[in-house]
Amino acid sequence: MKVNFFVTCLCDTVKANVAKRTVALLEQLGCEVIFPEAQSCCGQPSINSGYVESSKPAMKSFIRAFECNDYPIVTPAGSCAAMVKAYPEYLRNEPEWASRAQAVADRLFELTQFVVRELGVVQLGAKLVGTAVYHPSCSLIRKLGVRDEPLSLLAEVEGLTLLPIDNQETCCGFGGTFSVKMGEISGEMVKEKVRHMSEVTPDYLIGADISCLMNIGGRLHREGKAIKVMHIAEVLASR
Amino acid sequence: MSMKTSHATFKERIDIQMQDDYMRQSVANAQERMFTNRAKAAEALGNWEQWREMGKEIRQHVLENLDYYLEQLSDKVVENGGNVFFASTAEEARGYIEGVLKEKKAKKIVKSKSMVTEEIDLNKAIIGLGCEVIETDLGEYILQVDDCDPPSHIVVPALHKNRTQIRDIFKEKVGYQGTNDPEEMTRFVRQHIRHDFLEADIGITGCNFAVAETGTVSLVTNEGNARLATSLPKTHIAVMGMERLVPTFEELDIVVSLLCRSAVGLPLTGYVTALTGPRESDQCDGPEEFHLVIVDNGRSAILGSEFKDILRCIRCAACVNTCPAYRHIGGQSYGSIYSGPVGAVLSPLLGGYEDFKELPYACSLCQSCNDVCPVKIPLSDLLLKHRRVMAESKLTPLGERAAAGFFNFVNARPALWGKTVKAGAKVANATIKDGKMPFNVGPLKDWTDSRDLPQPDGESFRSWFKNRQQTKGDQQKNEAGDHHD
Amino acid sequence: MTNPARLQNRTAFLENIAKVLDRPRRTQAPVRPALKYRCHQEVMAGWSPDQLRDRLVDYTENALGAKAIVTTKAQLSRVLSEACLAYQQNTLSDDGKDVVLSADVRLQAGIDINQLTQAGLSLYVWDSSLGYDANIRACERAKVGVVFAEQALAESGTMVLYSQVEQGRVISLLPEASVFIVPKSAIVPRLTQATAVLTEKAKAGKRMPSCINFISGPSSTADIELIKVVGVHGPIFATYIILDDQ
Ligand code: SF4
Repeated sequence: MKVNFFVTCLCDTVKANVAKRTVALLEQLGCEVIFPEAQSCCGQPSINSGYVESSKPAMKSFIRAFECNDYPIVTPAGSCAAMVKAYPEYLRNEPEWASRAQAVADRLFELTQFVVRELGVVQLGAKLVGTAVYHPSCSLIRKLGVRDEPLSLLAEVEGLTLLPIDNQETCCGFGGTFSVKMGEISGEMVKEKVRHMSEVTPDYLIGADISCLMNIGGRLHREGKAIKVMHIAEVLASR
Repeated sequence: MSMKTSHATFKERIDIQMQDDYMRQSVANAQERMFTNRAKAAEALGNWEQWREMGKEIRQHVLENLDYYLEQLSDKVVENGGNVFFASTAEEARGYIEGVLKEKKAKKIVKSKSMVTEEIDLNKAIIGLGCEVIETDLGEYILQVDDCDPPSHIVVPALHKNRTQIRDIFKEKVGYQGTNDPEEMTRFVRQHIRHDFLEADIGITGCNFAVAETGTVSLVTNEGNARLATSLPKTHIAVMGMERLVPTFEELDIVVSLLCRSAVGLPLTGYVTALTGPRESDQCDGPEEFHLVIVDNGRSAILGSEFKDILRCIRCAACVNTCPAYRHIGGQSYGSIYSGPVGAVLSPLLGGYEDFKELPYACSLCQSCNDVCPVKIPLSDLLLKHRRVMAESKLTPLGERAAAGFFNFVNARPALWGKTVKAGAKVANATIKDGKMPFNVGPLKDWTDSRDLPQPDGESFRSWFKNRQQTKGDQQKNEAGDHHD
Repeated sequence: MTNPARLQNRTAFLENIAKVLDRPRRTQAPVRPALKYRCHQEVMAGWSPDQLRDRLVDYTENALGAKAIVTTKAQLSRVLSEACLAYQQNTLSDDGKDVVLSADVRLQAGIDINQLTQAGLSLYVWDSSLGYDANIRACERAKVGVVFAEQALAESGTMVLYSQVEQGRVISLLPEASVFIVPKSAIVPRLTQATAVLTEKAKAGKRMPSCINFISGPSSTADIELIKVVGVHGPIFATYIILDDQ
């Protein structure tokens, strides 16, 4: 099966290893990975700050980039997937673009969603010994409705034990531009998240959204906590 | 108290509030308790999603036919012997109520908790007439006694105060001599203001939902103060936001059930009181005169806008109780009588962007509010709409607009974007060391105040992938070449 | 039809609503869509009177902190006097010793006033013809107010009261303790069945009673540190007496 890879700007620039692991994972599952070079950022920083109108050319450019074929599109980030899925609504007043956006959105899957729901696979032969806290990101659970997929994948990882924490489903405080525009509030939110995590002293923090991991990881690093931050793609690639 | 409760800036307010450890602990505990109670109550019904869907449809239907139902309601109230005043603005509402007070030569007014009367700043007008007004809901009473401290929660207004603070306030202002035991203080207030109910000329209440078909005003309460205020004084004035009604008692069942479970996690609160007009002539308690004041005060503008969904709100505070931003900044940070997600949506609409422009940004877009709202208001979408309105009407800072423009310019040009990413990866890799940058300005500082930067992984993914494909291609070519040899 | 002085500013107000809704003023009743689901009808559907009674008792005692007593009509006077006497001993202050009884015929027919007085209770029976002051004063001084409920809601431990000439609003409000009497046959699952009765009344063109109360236990608050305190402005104590054979 051929799949397009939507890397997302954060993975592209600073977290290329997560993207590489994702590609490896897809290849392991028999997919041929295509990277449409014309892809850009989903536009979240601008759209979620209200600059919807001036973001439209970029949305269209994104749509065009993925119209190069009809294969599914896979991305290792819930929030970026959710953003693209909102394009049709933003482009509502341009019916032609709205339907093109819809066609792209329908082909787009978040990584764990794709692996579990589309490929029907949960056992990837991964092994990671230790305890972990899994952070269900807001985009994943509330925007995309992806709640069980990551958990069923992690349940199959040999040696890994997931630890529940208080207020597990509460936002980590990232929120895109919120983390800088309302840095104080965002900071308090991530501090609380780290406090709850620290209470169970896990070896790993696992998530499926790189932005949340950067946020929580940044706080863990600041506090000098020895909790290793891993994207689920990296966990699933561990042997 | 009017809509606006503070003259400080948003950042000043949150700085002060975030220092208040008691408030923060109390809000965190309260959120957890109320969240759990609500979740349990919803769970107990077994089909909460169906209930929410019904709630949404009922409220939606009312909004779409609001003129009809308000006409029906007002006809019925008059038919039952009451009076109805339609107030387009806060001034009109106050003016009418002042008129009633004067006509009745009222000296003392007892009030039960009502957000809309705070919104129209009614108490100030009443005091201006030389009358005494007593807020009788315990939480509101505490705030009134404390020199009109602003509320911090739409259901539990004095949530930010602890028992000792309350004891001290009572001691200083109303001569309380007892301990900080909540029960003792509650009993004290019971005895202290009982005579006010008996002496009051007028009782003023809000209205949770009116029933159009019967001309009924319903009140959902716990303490019994609203019952006293509508049983003892000779005149009852109910003030309602114009959208707060349902067609018949059949719908009242659904919305009241949703409200009680969402607000306090109970199937019903202690008292649900349905009042229809003044008392019948052969009865001897209850008001002889009834006035219903229906307030627009900016609501019709909302009804005609892309924000109309917020008018479905039944003021249950479920969104407040789940909001992580509210959790850390508390209600008074919002600078409005309406706090939390509902407040962040409503305050700029009723009070203008000038005073409330920051509120829509005090949200990480986590959407947990959307998930709990019993009438399915897409709160976080509405907050985004606010941001959009502000961005597009140039109410946002110039620097931000320029940055967004630049970003969108680059992002819409694939070749340029590709180059930028590759260069960005190099710069990040070269400059971020151990979670820090050598310089620390602007947005970066806001991030690094509480956390470090990520450790970059090296070259950009796209450079790596391209190289890999090339190598792969070369290998394939070689293999193909080998084969042909 | 209506007195204009009693209805002010309506036309412009409603015209404006029609305008923002971008359509002509709606003066005909809109089609009221049927509720989409029946989940509210399904709560405790098909429960027997005994099951509903048990649920009511359980919820009242465990969730509301109130008392629920199941008895028969023959025992009512005795049970009622015991309940009232218990409150006389337990209440907070000692001024006023009266019990205010509703004059509701269903209540009056079920009790023997002599038996209550012999038990040592001084009684006041609500009498609208005496006017506001006399009745309020009696209720204000009384320890206990006794009322007859139209219905009881099993789900929420709720007593449904209609204001009426024989039973004023304040009997269940001013005294420190409230006693409600309800026949088992009047116990219904939830608010749905109570509002259905009112909807029927409305359809039949009847005016609603001026004050309908759905009362679940004694008054309470959680305004100080979210700690539940029972007894604020309304009653501090409540007892439900369920007549099992009625
Ligand atoms: S917006 Fe929804 S959740 Fe928030 S107070 Fe209103 S009804 Fe309740």
